[in-house]
Amino acid sequence: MRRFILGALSCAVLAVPALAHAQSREVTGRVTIAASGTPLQDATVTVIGQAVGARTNERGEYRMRVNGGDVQLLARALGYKRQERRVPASSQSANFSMDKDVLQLEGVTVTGAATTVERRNAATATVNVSAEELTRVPAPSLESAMQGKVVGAQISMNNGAPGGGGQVQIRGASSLLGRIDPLYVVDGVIISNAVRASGQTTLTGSLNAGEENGTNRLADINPNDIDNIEVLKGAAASAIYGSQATNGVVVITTKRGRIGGNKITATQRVGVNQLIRKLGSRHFTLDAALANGQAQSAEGQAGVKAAFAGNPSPYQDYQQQLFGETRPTVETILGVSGGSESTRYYLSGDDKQEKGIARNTSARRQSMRFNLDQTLGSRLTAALGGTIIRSFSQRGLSNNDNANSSPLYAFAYTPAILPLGTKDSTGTYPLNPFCGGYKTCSNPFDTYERFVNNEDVYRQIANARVNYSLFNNSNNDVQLSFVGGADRYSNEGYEFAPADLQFQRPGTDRGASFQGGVVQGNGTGLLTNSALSAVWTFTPTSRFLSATTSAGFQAEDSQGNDYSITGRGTVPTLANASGNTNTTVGQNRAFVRNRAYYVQEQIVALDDKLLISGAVRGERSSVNGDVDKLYTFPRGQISYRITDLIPYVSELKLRANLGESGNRPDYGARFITLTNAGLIGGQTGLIQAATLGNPEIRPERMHEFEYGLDASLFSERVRFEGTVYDRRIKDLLVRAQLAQSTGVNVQNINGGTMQSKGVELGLTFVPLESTRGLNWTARTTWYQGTTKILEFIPGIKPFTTGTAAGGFGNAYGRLRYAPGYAVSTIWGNFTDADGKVTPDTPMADANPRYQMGFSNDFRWGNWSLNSVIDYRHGGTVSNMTLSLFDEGENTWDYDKPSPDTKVGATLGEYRYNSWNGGNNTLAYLEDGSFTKIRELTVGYDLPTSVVNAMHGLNAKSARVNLSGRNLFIISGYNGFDSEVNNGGNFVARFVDLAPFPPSRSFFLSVDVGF
Amino acid sequence: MRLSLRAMLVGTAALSIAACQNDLALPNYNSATVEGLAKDPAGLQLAATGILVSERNNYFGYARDIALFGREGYYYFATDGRFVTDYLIGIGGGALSSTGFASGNWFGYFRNMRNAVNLVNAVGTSGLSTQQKAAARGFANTFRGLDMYYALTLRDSLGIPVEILANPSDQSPFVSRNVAYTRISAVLDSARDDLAAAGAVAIPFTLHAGFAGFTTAPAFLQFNRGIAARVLAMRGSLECGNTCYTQALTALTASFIATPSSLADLNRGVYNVYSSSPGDALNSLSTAADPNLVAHASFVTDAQKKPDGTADARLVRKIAPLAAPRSGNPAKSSIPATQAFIVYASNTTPTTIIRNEELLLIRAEANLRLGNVPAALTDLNAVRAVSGGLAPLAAATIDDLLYERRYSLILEGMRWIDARRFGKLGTLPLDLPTHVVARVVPIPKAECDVRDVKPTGC
Repeated sequence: MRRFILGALSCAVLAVPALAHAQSREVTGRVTIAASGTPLQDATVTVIGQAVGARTNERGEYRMRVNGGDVQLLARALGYKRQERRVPASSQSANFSMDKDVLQLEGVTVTGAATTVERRNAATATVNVSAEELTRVPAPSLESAMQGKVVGAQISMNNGAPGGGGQVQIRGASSLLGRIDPLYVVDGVIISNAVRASGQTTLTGSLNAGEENGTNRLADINPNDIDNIEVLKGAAASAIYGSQATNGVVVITTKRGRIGGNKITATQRVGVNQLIRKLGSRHFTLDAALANGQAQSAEGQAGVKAAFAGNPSPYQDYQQQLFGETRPTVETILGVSGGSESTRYYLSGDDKQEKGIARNTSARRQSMRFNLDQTLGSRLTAALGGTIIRSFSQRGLSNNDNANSSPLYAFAYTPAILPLGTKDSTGTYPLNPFCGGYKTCSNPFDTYERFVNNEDVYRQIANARVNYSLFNNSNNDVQLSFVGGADRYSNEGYEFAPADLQFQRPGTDRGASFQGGVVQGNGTGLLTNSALSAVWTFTPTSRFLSATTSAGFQAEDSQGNDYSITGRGTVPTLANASGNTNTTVGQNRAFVRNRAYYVQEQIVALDDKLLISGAVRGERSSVNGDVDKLYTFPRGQISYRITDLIPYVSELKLRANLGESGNRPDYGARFITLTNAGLIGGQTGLIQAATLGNPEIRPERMHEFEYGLDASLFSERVRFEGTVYDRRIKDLLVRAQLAQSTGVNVQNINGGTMQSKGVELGLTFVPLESTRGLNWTARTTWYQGTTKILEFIPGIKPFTTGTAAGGFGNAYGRLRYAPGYAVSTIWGNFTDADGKVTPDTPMADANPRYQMGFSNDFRWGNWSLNSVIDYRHGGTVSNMTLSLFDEGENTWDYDKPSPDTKVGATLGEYRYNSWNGGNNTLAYLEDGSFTKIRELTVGYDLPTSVVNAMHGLNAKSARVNLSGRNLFIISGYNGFDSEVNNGGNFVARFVDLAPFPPSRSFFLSVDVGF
Repeated sequence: MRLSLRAMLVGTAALSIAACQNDLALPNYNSATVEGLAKDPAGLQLAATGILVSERNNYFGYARDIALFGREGYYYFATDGRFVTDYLIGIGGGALSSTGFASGNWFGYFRNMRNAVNLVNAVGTSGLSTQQKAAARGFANTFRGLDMYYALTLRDSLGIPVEILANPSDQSPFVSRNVAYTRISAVLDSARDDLAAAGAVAIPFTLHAGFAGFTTAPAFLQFNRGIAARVLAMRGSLECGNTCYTQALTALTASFIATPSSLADLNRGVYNVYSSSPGDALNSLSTAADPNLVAHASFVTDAQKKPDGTADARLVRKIAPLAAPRSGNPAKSSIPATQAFIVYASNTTPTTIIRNEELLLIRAEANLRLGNVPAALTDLNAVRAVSGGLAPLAAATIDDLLYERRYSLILEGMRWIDARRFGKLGTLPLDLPTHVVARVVPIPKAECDVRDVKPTGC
């Protein structure tokens, strides 16, 4: 039926007769900025209804040939409102004076592999983050730069280690077992956002790779090269990325050269990171320290006595000592761009050296990018781009572990009374006698000095776009385009724990068999994709509509190969993994291939007021059980703009979008595999894998309705955008527990349905517009969304995934997926009034009730002030960091008065006793609401007179910025930060367990343009 | 206009062709697949070895748990008292917890049955000769039958599912003990038929040293008949009665049973082997590998005397006093152990799958129950003399047979099962009033939870 409609539309369009040409003449003019009269370079001037256009030069001038008769000219420039002007047959010139586009009404939004639509016609909620918004305040990674700016997304950093590591979750969870991150696309190239497992777990005894605190590869992308980020939320992207679009798509467009002379920009930034919140720890008296449960070993008692010898209050501020570093972070950026009508170029180089708040923690990203746009003759244009990146990080050691090696873990069980951070006369750190004794503890100062955790990434991303104008007349325009590219990286990991580190010594958990260890590994990835599209735009002379028909083919491959050598039992002076006492190797490969086809029809009609669009995409993938089966993902859209109908409402747009998208299975899921059972008599045996592959596995399928209403009010001083979505995820992958008597244990099958609903509101307000030279734009967003599991097919029981990212069992609260409950429900042990304990009781929701973002931009003369504030309401956190300190009788607020002395003598004891060995999970579940000052910037454009006075520089412009990120957290949360998550990126985030403490940063930037 | 349409058509056609040339059937690099087994000659060997690794790895839990239930010994683990509470005390009324430590030994057997089915399927499409295929099937189904036997003897009257269905998410129904035993015999008999049809070929896999002397189809057939005879003797003492005992005698004639004149004769059989090489496994039933497994003192007090007044040689060979008593955990729920097992000299000493001494005792049992007392006495006295150094018996009862089985087959997974099938669980020694002897191991809760139709054991 859908196909029939598309066909019928195409036929109707074809039936409209083409009209004849007329004679031509030349039109010239100038485009300037309204307030200042400054010439506007690189603006486009087109003739409406004709495939004719020109760009302005440095002086804002344009020149073009138009057909005879009256014409309607349209001038557009990025960041400015469009302007139309009627040029009678008698006239040969038209000047434009452009107003700033404060409300972001202009621009286009992506609708297909090779098509866009005017943002004012867009049928989906669009989110754009501009270069200026991204780079105003330097950020550890792109996620951080996007925080507070994307309505409908929850963006969180996993902890405060330098180098990134964060999660973007768009419109809530859309999968339980499948991919949960959005797809990232840079100039048409799908890029990897993988996290490499470093193997640190082997050395620290933590439970899984998520706790290793690796960085996801988005950290490699240099925000300064980005011109624009567009966030496509779910089904809006279905026609472009089909089976990878369920989690949304982040479309990144890099900066390109503009027509004009060579333009050089240089930026120098200097900044510093600083521990944002310090918790401290309990202040002990001698008696309290002697009685502390963590000091009961002989060495512990001796340690207490030594600490108090001649010093009645030997408190040590460990967190300040370890995480109190304020070494400078430095970034240098150089950009060169320019070009002519036929050749445009952009080159940039960036070196950013970020220092962490703990010693030996840092991140460095060096990147070079080029973009080249070339016109070859009248029909062919080509664009090439490429980036080479090196990204290096040292992120220390944090989160959960089983050897008390993670600093906050060790500090929780260490009365802060000994100067553990001070080396003795031989240059060695003392052993920590607490947390049970020498054999069960660590000295984090020693660990951070000598434990090595390096990640070194070399990455190349290249893209090419070729466009061929196949046919063109006054009514028809046919373009063929090719977009292709590759992302290739190698991620080298090196972990080293010396044999004499306290938690590696003989008799410790980690040093039981072998002391010390090295993990040397490398993960490489290669993602390639290419797309061929044909786009035919038909505009009848009557101009009652413009119909764009497109079709294309897309091929996408991704390969990964990860291998590592783990050496246990280090040999003196040897730093290699091989050559150690016990060496094991590991390898993991993946190879995924996707082939897709699509057709799309997009019609803009009724004086550009109505948009109707339909598309269908078919996909085959090597990861599906049936690799030859074509899975189709349809989409339909409609929007209608009502203009000047109601007083004060200049435009009202109603929009609806209905689409399907997918989430494809993991590589290898379709195979029924064997597993290595070990040796017998020197021979290897293979046996049935306990997890049964699924030869019938297929993509998860999301069906999304999205409705919205956008309005521009009061002479475009106020803009409202409201969106409601309702998505249903069918064929959800769930874990089927099989009868063990079948000879297999579990199987992942398509057997569930989930529903997400949400509301996104945005209000942009321009209270002051050139009022005594003052401009003020305020934007507020509000987002609320929930995801609930509706049903499992018969036979599927509620399940947990068993990874630490989903929580630590009922005692501390864990995720458990059950029909009728939100996916982010935290389940735990509930103790009723009679003391009866019920496990697996739903207790709280990890998902925030709602989130708000507030941004304010002020401009007064040469001064500017910008702020971004992020507010999260609700969202429960399992505050395990607090539980560790309470268990260690060592919490910062341990000695505060107890609410009920029958339960515990002090506040800390009260909390720990109410938890009752995990029988009352609620004791450590805490509200994670916060207000964060994400960004604050004061900028000053140096006056031209001053710039000109900078002798010998020949500079054209200069700007000074003072900025801060994450300046303040206002939150009642009793911990470092409720945003962290022990297991890294996961379906729902709620585990705060000994994180690397988050930091705030300050920067001074100087930008000079030449 | 026409031009553009044509170009688009041509373009689309070109794209479609390009698209079709890309093969999406990509391999799995990280794991071998069941499907790939048959395509690689090495695959069959790996799968066959997998069956043997699983057989060995499952054996520890089987032999140890039967030793605990049958009061051959204790497992005293310092940091977990559940090896006492879950095995020796249970949850009341002689029952054990379906989620506790003692309800294990389930998945491994069925998984290995599926390994056997996978091997049979792979063999079918392999390049082996017809006779080799028959030999391979005989190999696989012998172990499948043996795994069914292990599973059934632990669950006994609760029954077990006996089929491994092609679609793993389909549940095979639980069947009664008698039906299950009948099915085990049928599986073993089909293996016998295959091995007979194989002629004189070698089993087409390299078998480990525990199969020395049993690597050809005719020799493997003797091993198969030994297992068949064990199963038939079990059935003889249960629902099947004398019919099965008669069949057991027939099976034994085709087995490797032989009149013994030395311990080596008694020990001839098939074994699991161990090694300290990385990736291999140690014999955890040996004290050297796992000192937590200790012996029950009743072995000493119940041992008969040789004519010279010293104890049964089997006791001397297999049980020795501990240097110091070993406390149980929890201490109040257990008594200190004074004896250690020395059945296995080192941590790489092989464990028994089946051996001649057991076959002789099976023949004695069948003859005894069929009324052929002189024949039974011949075998019993041969075992008494060669294995125990004991004087011959002039007459024999079931208790006499059980004594020989108890001392001849220490730690070989028999005593608890023997006591149960002859209705003598009540004779097993209890150390404390709180202790009980379990009759069956419960069906694990994980199995019960997902059963569409709940069997009686759930």
